[in-house]
Amino acid sequence: MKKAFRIFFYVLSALYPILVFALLVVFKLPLKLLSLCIIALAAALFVSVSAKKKEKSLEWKPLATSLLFFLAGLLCFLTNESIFLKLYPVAINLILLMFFGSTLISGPNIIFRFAALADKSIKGSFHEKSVENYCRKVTYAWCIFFIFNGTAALLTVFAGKLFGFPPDEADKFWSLYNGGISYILMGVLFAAEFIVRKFADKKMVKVFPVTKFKAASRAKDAVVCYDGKWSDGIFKTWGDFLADTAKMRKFIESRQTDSYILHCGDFWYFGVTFTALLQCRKAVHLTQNISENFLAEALLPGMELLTDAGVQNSLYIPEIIEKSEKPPKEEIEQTPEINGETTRIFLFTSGSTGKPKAVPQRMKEFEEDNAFIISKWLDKISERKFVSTVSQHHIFGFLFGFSLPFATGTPFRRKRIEFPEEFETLDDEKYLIVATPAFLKRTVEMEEKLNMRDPWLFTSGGAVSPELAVKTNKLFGIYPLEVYGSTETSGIAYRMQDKDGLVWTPFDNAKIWLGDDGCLRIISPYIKDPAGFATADMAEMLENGKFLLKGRSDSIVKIEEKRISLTEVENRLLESGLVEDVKVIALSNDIRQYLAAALVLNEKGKAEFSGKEKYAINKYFHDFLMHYFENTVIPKKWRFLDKLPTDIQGKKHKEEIAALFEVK
Amino acid sequence: MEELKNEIKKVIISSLELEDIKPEDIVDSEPIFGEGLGLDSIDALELGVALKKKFGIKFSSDNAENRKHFASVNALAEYIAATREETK
Repeated sequence: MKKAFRIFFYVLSALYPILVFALLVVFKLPLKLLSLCIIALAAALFVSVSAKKKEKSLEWKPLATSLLFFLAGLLCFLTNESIFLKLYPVAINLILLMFFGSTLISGPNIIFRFAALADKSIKGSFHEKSVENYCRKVTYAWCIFFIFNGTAALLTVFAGKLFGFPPDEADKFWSLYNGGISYILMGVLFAAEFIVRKFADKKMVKVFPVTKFKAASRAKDAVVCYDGKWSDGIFKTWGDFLADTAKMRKFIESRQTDSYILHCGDFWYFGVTFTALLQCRKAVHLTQNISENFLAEALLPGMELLTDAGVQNSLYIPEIIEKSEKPPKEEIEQTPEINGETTRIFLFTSGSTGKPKAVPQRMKEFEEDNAFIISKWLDKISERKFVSTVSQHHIFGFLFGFSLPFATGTPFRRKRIEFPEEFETLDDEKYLIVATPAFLKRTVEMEEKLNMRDPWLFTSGGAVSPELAVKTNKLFGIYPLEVYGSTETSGIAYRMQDKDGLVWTPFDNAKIWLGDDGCLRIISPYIKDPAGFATADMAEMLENGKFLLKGRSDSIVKIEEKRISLTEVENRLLESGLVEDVKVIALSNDIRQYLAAALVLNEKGKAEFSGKEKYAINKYFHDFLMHYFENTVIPKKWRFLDKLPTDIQGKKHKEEIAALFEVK
Repeated sequence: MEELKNEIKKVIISSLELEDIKPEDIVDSEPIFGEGLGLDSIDALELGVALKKKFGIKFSSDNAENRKHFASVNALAEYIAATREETK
């Protein structure tokens, strides 16, 4: 009954202008009587609303409406002027303008509140922000409409005086506008917004990271991955992704293994296998190094190796995916939930203890990291195609080469770029390049001119020198967006040298301060310890929370962006059984940074190498270390001595060791 | 051809500032990178730059082809000789 009454009232207030006109002009109802009717109506509405005492807060809208009606009726009754009846639409517009306008200031805007009510998936999603932005524009449009419509309504009230209409004509004009035209305009605005929304929705980038996607998240023909260059048109689509992950799941579920090592040269096979492993709740260890000796240490009992490289005793991914039958539709459409907090992902890094260390990571933090990048640079990302020169087994390559483009639905290249010359082929599209400074350094030397179209560059793993930044801009037409971070902390600060110079700006989600040792301490989503993560990077803090880096301090060094513990290399050399004492230091020449090792051979070593050429001894130790390290971090220069220079305390100083390597 | 190979070896040694190694220590057919001569991916990029400066040659934009050219001193020499022939 109450509901019926309210609906009746809404219809009445919508038809108000026409009713007033009909009663006043057509039926010649005395104004006093009409105003009394309106006061009665207002009272009825007030009673119906305030009768709902059970609800804590009274609904302000019908209350305000009844109050307005009451005022209009009362003023009209007292003054016998129809103007007050006619001002009602003006007041409504004014109130709506104030209400809509206030949500623009206090937020969230009113249209977004409606949208979030209608579509529950908006809240908390990655695209919440862009939806809110769009809704803000719509709210603005309505505010402008209310200003226009309110003004027009005001003009119609005074139509008689303004345009010299006779009273009857003026009333007709007022009711025609307020009871007809203004509703039509409103309808037009609704319709126009609906059409614009369809387009905006298509253009809006929907972010679905690995832990949030469903089969319906993207269109089946949306491109996930491309081969060669974009215009070659060799694509892997969302449909392929669902099908291939289903195949991989089936394979994984057929095995007892709980923990896997994953290595893929191919980003597609990587993405499919990685996702399937997480869906099956397996532990995933990512490694770039698949040398026999590394695997002998890393592959613990019960673990298996999944790879697209031909390694003995491994599970060969291309065969699993290309040779197995397409699973039934329901298995493809089914996407087992991935919980970002319980994923078991391990990245290998060089600890200072001597053994390659598997650092545990979770999708949750990876995606928080991506979320910051997305919030900052989504427009740069979404309009481009990804190419990476960085292996996705390292944290930077994983975050920027795989998980970021996957989340934003931006196509990424199946193969890594290994030679700078490959950039020459990428002249057909706007690309986003993920590279290390080391790779950029050689690229600017190799290439004089690239015809790339408006590319964008993310670099990480080390700082780009000012000289390299300028050269990069000359070749690519853009300064690299540098991200500072490490495997333990992930990305924590950024800079773009044309805007920021050498100053780093911390990510919103990272807290940074200087430790007693002059090195940076960091708390990021990755670091739960309130004491923060102690880096070996010396820094100078600036007043605004930004900072400058001042070099590294301890035995962990970076060789061409590869982090290596000097202690670890020393320990490995001692393990050879041929070495009595050793000191490894980092040096650099015009060309590059490198490690240099000064060794004292033990009796066995001396016997082993007696009469051999120095080159052969170098090679022996080089090949020995190849079992444990990537080639880049293996010492390039060797000295074999009877005794290492030490001070009185027996401490080996870097300067004295370095002197051994000065060119004779 | 032998002369060219010798020159390439000299470029390898000088551009990468290799120590304790003479041109004759480098075996023509052995892999340049990894276990053979023990050079790494940074060296590969650096060597590319040096060879470009010395012989004025450019490498391919095709990854697989470059891997072939950089396989050994023999392969490099063949590629450089062929490129020179083309541009004559």
